[in-house]
This record gives sequence, structure tokens and C-alpha cells, in this order.
Amino acid sequence: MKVQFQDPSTDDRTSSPANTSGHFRRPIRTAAILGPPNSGKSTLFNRLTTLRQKVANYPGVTVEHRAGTLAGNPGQTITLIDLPGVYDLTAYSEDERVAAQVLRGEMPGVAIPDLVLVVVDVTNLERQLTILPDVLRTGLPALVVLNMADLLSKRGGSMDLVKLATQLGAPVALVSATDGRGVDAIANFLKGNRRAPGKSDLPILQEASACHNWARQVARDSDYRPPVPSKWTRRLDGVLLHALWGPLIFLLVAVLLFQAVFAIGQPLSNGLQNLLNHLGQVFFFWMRVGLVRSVLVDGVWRGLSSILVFLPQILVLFLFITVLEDSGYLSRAALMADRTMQRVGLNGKSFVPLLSAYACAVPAIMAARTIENRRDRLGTILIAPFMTCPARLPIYTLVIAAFVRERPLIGPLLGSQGAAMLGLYVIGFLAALFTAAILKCSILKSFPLPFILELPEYRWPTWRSIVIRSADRAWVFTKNAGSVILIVATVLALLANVPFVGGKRPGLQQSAIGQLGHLIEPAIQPLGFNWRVGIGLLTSVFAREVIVGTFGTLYGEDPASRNLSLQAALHTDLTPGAAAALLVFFAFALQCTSTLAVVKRETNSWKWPAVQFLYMAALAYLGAFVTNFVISRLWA
Amino acid sequence: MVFTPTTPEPNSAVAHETQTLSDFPVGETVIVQDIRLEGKLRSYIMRFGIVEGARVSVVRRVPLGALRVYRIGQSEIALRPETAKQIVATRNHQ
Repeated sequence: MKVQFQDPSTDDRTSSPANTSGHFRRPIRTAAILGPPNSGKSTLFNRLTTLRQKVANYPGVTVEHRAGTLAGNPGQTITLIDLPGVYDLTAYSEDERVAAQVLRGEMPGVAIPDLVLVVVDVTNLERQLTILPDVLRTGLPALVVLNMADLLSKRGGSMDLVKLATQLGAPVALVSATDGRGVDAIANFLKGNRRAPGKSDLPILQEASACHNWARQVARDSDYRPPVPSKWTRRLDGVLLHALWGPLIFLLVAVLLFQAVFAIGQPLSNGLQNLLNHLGQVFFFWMRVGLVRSVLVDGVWRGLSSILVFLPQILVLFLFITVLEDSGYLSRAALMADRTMQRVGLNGKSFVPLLSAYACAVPAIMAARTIENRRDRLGTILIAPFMTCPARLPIYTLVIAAFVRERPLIGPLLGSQGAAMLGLYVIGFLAALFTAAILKCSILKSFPLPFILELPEYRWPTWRSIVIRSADRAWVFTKNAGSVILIVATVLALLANVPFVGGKRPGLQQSAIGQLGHLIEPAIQPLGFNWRVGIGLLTSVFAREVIVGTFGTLYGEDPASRNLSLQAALHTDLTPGAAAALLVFFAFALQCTSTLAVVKRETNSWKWPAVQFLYMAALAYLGAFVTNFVISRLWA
Repeated sequence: MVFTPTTPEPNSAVAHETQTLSDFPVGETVIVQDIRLEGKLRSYIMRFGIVEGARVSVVRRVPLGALRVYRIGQSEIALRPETAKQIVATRNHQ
């Protein structure tokens, strides 16, 4: 195809009264990118603004406000706003409401754009053009970007750009955001102090079928010849959605994904943790042992490390998810998982985030972004922390080793300790199902839209997109969750170091947090817990694994248990009922500041992390109470 | 979504009139006659190109469940059976 860019205002129609009204000469300061999902809108945004982006949330909603800058002429900076992917501006979803508000200039703190880049997938022109009437009706100047030009020509499709631009009354550009072809033309268009296109005289099409007929007519009058459907996609679907091979490959991909986060991300995180602990020692060795050093090492440095240790897992998971999503396989996996997820009131897209939650809830909650439906996304975020993550393993292994005598259950395959561990994975999963069922008939009860999934064609994912998205997620986590984690870590470290006893720092038992542990003892007595467990529960609000270190300190300080191993000390201090109750408590409770911080970040409110924390704490308390009650009766 | 499970109706002229997308086998191409949904749900479905008069072909069944993939114009979409049952269609006689 020869013509890459066509502006109807440069032809002789310019003088027509219908077009002159909207013309004005002024440099473009803000432009918004809008387009249907899968139109390649974000790829184009990344092309135009590489590494000059800012991510925040729109006030009061979960939708991300993504803005980037583009260097224009000297002294000119153009801000590009990447709006969420929407089919039109009908405002069914939060995404559409946000897009509509920004375009109408009703979004607080966001300037009304001078121009809208409407990105559509040119290989599916008739379907995607239906977004245009809504956008053009806003009266904003628009540039229609026909993306995926490479695929159109490769598969024998074609069209007449001049005819299309004339019919739309707006300039059009044919580009390929993936390989960068034609993108310069857009950049130049934005930089140029040229006339922005005027208001067009498009019909007002409120009714969906009228809109479709209009789009079909426009495509026909632009000599649009759709490309032949991809042979590869059809062939691949024949295998990947095959009755037998489909599920097998799906299983393999799921295992690989889990293994990648668990077996690559986790050791990297552990290695990084050790390195950071070591560095902490090196950095602060010269300081006098005292309050300041304690707060710096146990508070600030530990907070900082615990943010950084999540990065390998986030990077590995997003590397995987970007490949799955960009290649088109994620949609197929969602289809195959849909039946199962539908039973718990969610849809197939929740599968991958929930699976990755077994490795770590933090990247999993961020991965819930792939679920467009807000209701299902929230449901997924709320149940993800029930999946057994490795941070629970230290306390699980310690208590099981101390209380469960190892004996074979199924020959050499499964011993009693392994069975206890498996049981903990199962009750976590059951709690998730239970919670999903509650959500389904309470807060998520709103009338659901039908689950309709569009299957994108298979494509090779590009390195560019993989790197940008993984780095973006890592940065968003560090920046937003980081501050919360740092504050909590510092406060906990302070509480463990005050009040001074005779001018000296207190032992953990005399510290503010230790006293608090004593204070809550009556409340946790029904669970069989004493004040030591109380202190452990308080310190592990930061992170589950912290409780093992706390126990080490407490039993080490006590002359009665000083010479015992941690296992033996625990065995003499707790009843079997209390030990089982402790395990159940950790299976259900949300003892993880990072998860709370990331839920706050993803839902853009403190309401959901608060609800989630309290709900899980209540469930943990109840579960531990029942466990202690039943087991102590059985034992007696 | 509320829907009543429908049992296959006997082959009659009446049954033919109320055939829906979910009644046609893989490989069949049909024409959409009506969408038995109101308001918001109706226009939501129409966004995907399922409008009266649209040509839809049944592409394949998805394993591990009852979803099926349909082709409309240039795009392929997957529908749950309860959604497909709301879309009245007739065989394409062209």
C-alpha cells in the first residue's frame, strides 16, 4: 500500500463550511490515545513515549491513568494519555466511564485533550470503526490510526485511504505499531503546528445496529478488502484447542508458569534476600548497637529489602504473562479454564492469577489486571491470598516437624508430615472457594455481563513489549507498595525497641510490641495461644515468615527454653490443639503488608485491603478456635 | 444470568423458528434473526458484531467446557452456551 497518511483537510474540501468551523491553529499540548481492546493501542503508546511515562490511578477508580511525553518542536512537550481499551463510550464499565470523562474534560486534574488518536485494528475494520461515531461526536479533533498495516498487506487485504479519510472527515494514518512503520508520521503530525482537523458531520448513531450498518457502509465505500483469515491461527487452534491436546498443553503451560515463578523467581528472591541481609550488615556495622541502628537495620533496611525481594518474582511472572497474552494463548487458556472458574462465580481469566498466587500473591494480584470485568477482577484479588504461598512454609515446616511424628501413610509416597502439609494447601483452597461463594451472593452480586471473549490471532510477542511491561509492573510495585511497606517496617522496628528500660533498649518481651502481645493474650487464649504466640502474630503482620524469627528470639531470651532447639521449645510450650490452631490461623490470615499494599494500589482505595484483612483475620480466628476446640477434646 | 435450561425441542416448524446459535453444529453458517435480551445486555452483545442479519459460523467447541467459538466477519469470539441460547438464528440458505 502506498499512501501512509491522508488528511482530508489538505484537499479542496477544506473550504467547505462544514469543515472550517472546527479548524484552529495551535500547537497540540495534550493528545489522548483511544481504541478498542486488542487494537494495539498500548503498543503504539509505548512506541511514541518509550520510558517517558507516568502511571497513576484516576481518582476513586481502579483504572490506571497512564501518561507519557513526546518531545515536540523546541519548547514544545506533548503529553500523551493512554486511555483504557474500550469498544465505545457507552459507560457500561469503569473503563468506559473514565474514557468518556477524560474526552469530555470532566476528569478532575486531567486537561481536556487537544486531539484524540483513535487506534483501530485495520484487519478488522468493520468491527472496529464502530468506536468512531462516539468519539467524533465529542467534537474533539481526531486522527484515525489504522494499526496492523503489516498484517493487512501480508494477508492480501487493501483499502483506499483517501476515500476513508474523506468519508470520516478526519485524517487517517496507516501504521504498524509492532514494527514501527508509519509511527513517525503520527509523531510529526502531533509536532506540526498544522491545523488540527475539524468537527466532522457524522450521523449520530445511538443504536448499536445502526452503528454497525454505518461502519459496514464506510468500509465498503473505502474499497476495503479484508485480509484472509490467518491460516496459522486456524491451524494452531486446531491443536491448542483440540479435545485431547488442548487440555494437555494447557496443563503443561500451567505447570511451567507455576514452576517458573516458584523454581526460578523464588530462589532468585531468596538469593537477593541473603545478599541484602549481608549488605545490611556491611553497611551498618560501624554504627553503635542501639536504637538508631536497630530501626535502620530492622526497619528501613528490612522494609527496603522486602520490597526488592519481590522483584524477581514479579519480573518472571510478567515475562511469562506478557508472552502468553501477546502471543494470543492466554485467551485460549481462559476459555479452557472457564467452566471450572464459572463454578466459583468467576470467569476463565481468573485462572492464571490464581495459579500464580501459589507462588506469591503480590504479582498474582497485579496479574489480575488481565481480567477486564471489574467484578471478576475484584473477586480474584480478594481470594488470591488464600492460596498457599511459600512465605507460609517456614512456620508450617516448624510446627509440623515439632508436632507430627513422621510415619508412612501411603508407602514411601506420602508420609504423615507431607499429608499435614498437603492438608494445609487444601484448606487454603477450600477457604478460597468458600469466600468466592460468599462474594458471589454479596458484594459481587451485581448483574453480570455475559462472558464474551474475543480470540486474537496468534502473533510473535516482541522483546520490546515483554521488557517494557515487566519493567513497568516492577516499577509500579516498587513505587506504590514500597512506601507502605517501608512505613510498616519502620513502625514495627520502633515498637520492638521502645520503651527504654534503665536507659537501655528493652528485650523483645519488655518492648511495646511485647507488652501488646501480653495484652492480647486473653483474646487469643480461646485459640490455645499464649503471649509468645501473641507477639509472633503481631510481628508477622509484616510478613508471615517473620514469626519464626520472633519465636527464635523469644525462646532464646527465656532461660527455661534457652538450651532447647526451636522445635523442642515449641513442643513443650504449646498444646497439640494450639499448634494445629496456629497452622490454621496462618492458612487463613492475611499476614502480609506487601499484599495489603498491592491490593490498595490495584483497587485504588484502602477499603478493599481493610475489608480483606478483617475478613481473613476473622476467618483465621474462627478456624483456629474450632481447631483448638476439636483437637483438645479429641486429645483429652 | 438467569436462564431456564431448555430441552431439545422436537423437530417441528415451531422448533425451527426458535433455533438459537447453540443449536447448530460446528461448521454451520447461520444468520442472526433476533437477540432475546433487553437493554444493556442486548447492546453489550451487539458490540461484538452480533446484530440482526449478521452471518455467524460455528467454528469449534472448546475442550473442558461447553463454550464454542464463532466467527463473525473478521473476528472470532467465544460464547458460553447460556449466551448463545439468547441469539435466535436460522440456517444460511445462500
